Amino acid sequence: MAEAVAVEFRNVSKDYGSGKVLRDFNLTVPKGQIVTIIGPSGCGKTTLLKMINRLEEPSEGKVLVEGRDIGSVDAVSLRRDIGYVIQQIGLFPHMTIEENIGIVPRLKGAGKGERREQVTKLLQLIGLSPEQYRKRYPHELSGGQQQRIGVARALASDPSIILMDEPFSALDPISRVQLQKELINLNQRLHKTIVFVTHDIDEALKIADRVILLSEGEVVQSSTPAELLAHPANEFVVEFLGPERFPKDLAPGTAHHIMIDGLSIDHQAPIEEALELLRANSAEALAVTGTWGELLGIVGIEEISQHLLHDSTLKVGAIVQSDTSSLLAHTPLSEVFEQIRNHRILPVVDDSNRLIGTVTRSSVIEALGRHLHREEHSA
Amino acid sequence: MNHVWDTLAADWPMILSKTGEHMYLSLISVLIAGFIAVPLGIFLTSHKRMANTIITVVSAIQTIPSLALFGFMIPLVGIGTTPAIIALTLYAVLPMLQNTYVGINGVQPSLLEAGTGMGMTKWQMMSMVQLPIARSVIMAGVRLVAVQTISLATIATYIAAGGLGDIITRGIAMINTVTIMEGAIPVSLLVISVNFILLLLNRALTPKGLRHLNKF
Ligand SMILES: Nc1ncnc2c1ncn2[C@@H]1O[C@H](COP(=O)(O)OP(=O)(O)OP(=O)(O)O)[C@@H](O)[C@H]1O
Ligand SMILES: [Mg+2]
Repeated sequence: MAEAVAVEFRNVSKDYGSGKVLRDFNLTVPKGQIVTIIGPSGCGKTTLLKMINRLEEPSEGKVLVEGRDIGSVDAVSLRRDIGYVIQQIGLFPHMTIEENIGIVPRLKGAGKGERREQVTKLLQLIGLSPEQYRKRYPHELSGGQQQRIGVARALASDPSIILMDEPFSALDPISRVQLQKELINLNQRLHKTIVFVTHDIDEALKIADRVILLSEGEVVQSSTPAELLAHPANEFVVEFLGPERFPKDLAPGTAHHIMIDGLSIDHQAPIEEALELLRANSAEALAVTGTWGELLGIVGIEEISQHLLHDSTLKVGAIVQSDTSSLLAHTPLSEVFEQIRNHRILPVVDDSNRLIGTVTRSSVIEALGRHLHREEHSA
Repeated sequence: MNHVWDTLAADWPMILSKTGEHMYLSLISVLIAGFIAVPLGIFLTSHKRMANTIITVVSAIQTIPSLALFGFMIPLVGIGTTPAIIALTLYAVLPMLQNTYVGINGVQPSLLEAGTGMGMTKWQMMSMVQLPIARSVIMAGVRLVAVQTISLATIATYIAAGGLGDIITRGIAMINTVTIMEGAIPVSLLVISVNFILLLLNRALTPKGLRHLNKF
């Protein structure tokens, strides 16, 4: 399936007058994913984000949103169709929560009744009681609650794209983690394209389907969080993310070298999807991950087929086998070979039990094949 | 003491009519100044380069001694109510202009960014965000101007514009303290009550979400 594109930068340059911030910049943001943008301070993250809703204009090149060149679209109506959340939250202090959330629908001409209904739905969605909060004012809410309202406000006119510029970075650590979790859950239901700028590398890796690492106005690497950690494009990536995130002492003979991507599935996914994934990879089992990308266990093709007969709407999480063995990236190959004899699949995790890859019998055989091939050539 | 009461009883209708003139002069001047200063202040917030020049010019008017300003009116517009209103209006513009300008500029930039990012037009930003938030600062300017104008209007008597200044100058000419008081006390009472009424009005009009910020 070809991935639909939500936002595309084509040869974009940006110059504020003192040299180019972005130079001949190209980027595509796939639809329906959370994409985090990270990079050193001043590398152009905010600039990039603001070009998507025309708060900044490219000096050269063009930006396409859902296939349309936004240079030729009315900026005001474009912005009403794109959600926007900023670090300072920016709730209007003289308006109630209800009025704040309803602002974009109001700008778009929605009636009072329609707005009221929408506000009720959104408050429920973000877990605040409509009766209790509707008539309150922003200063009567905690920082975390205020930013939840900020997110609700961005969702109010049901935009397909939401831009967030360090939305959680001014919050206390507990609220921050809570909101990150809620955002992931929310988007599993809503499937919005979320472009999320952050300074916080943990946050970027945790919430992203895809991470884009920028440096001096250029994309250094754009990949899934697991891929970024497993195959950093260069030394800068390692330095920026922090060398401690990468498994140390990866002698050639470790699990890290023979593990593969792709044989994993989120616990919220329906078992049908798991079956498809197994078929596509002609694999026997999959690793199952939780909300944070942590390893929950595995599911095998037999269990899935069995349950599929009874209840096809079942979630993978409901049938996961959690009493499974797993490997660390630096587990030596001798031990991997030993273990794989008794398992269909061996998940590989990092120090915090986050899944970084899997080893299967076929990946072992492939690795052996590569090894022999190399031996032959060097002999 | 009896003498005081007798004078007061005899002068009562005159005091009332002079108070009426006084209020008229002040009210008209403040209103005209408001209609000039508030829109001008709004305009200047989006024309920052012009703002400095205009505010400097308007401030210069404030440095002219009030008696002299009333005097300058005579060769230009003659004597009577009109020149008095012009002079009072000129004095009233600056505080309101300044407060409007400062109030609107004082709105947090993050609110403007949020508003623009959500698709507000400039006009919607002004009417939905900037003016409601700046309103109490603008109102404070109006209150200051009202009080200042009522005091200043006593000088209007020198260019034959009437008002309570008539009674005060007559008292001075007669070296009669009771008569001076008959003019001065109503001026003070007007100042106090107008100040109080505007204060209450401002409280009542302040949006609930901003009331916790109002320390006055
Ligand atoms: N309005 C502006 N005028 C001039 N230069 C600007 C403007 N906005 C940003 N810049 C410059 O452009 C570069 C990129 O800025 P940008 O705000 O996009 O960086 P950022 O990656 O968001 O940084 P941070 O992580 O600190 O938020 C910086 O060098 C900055 O100084
Ligand atoms: Mg930034």
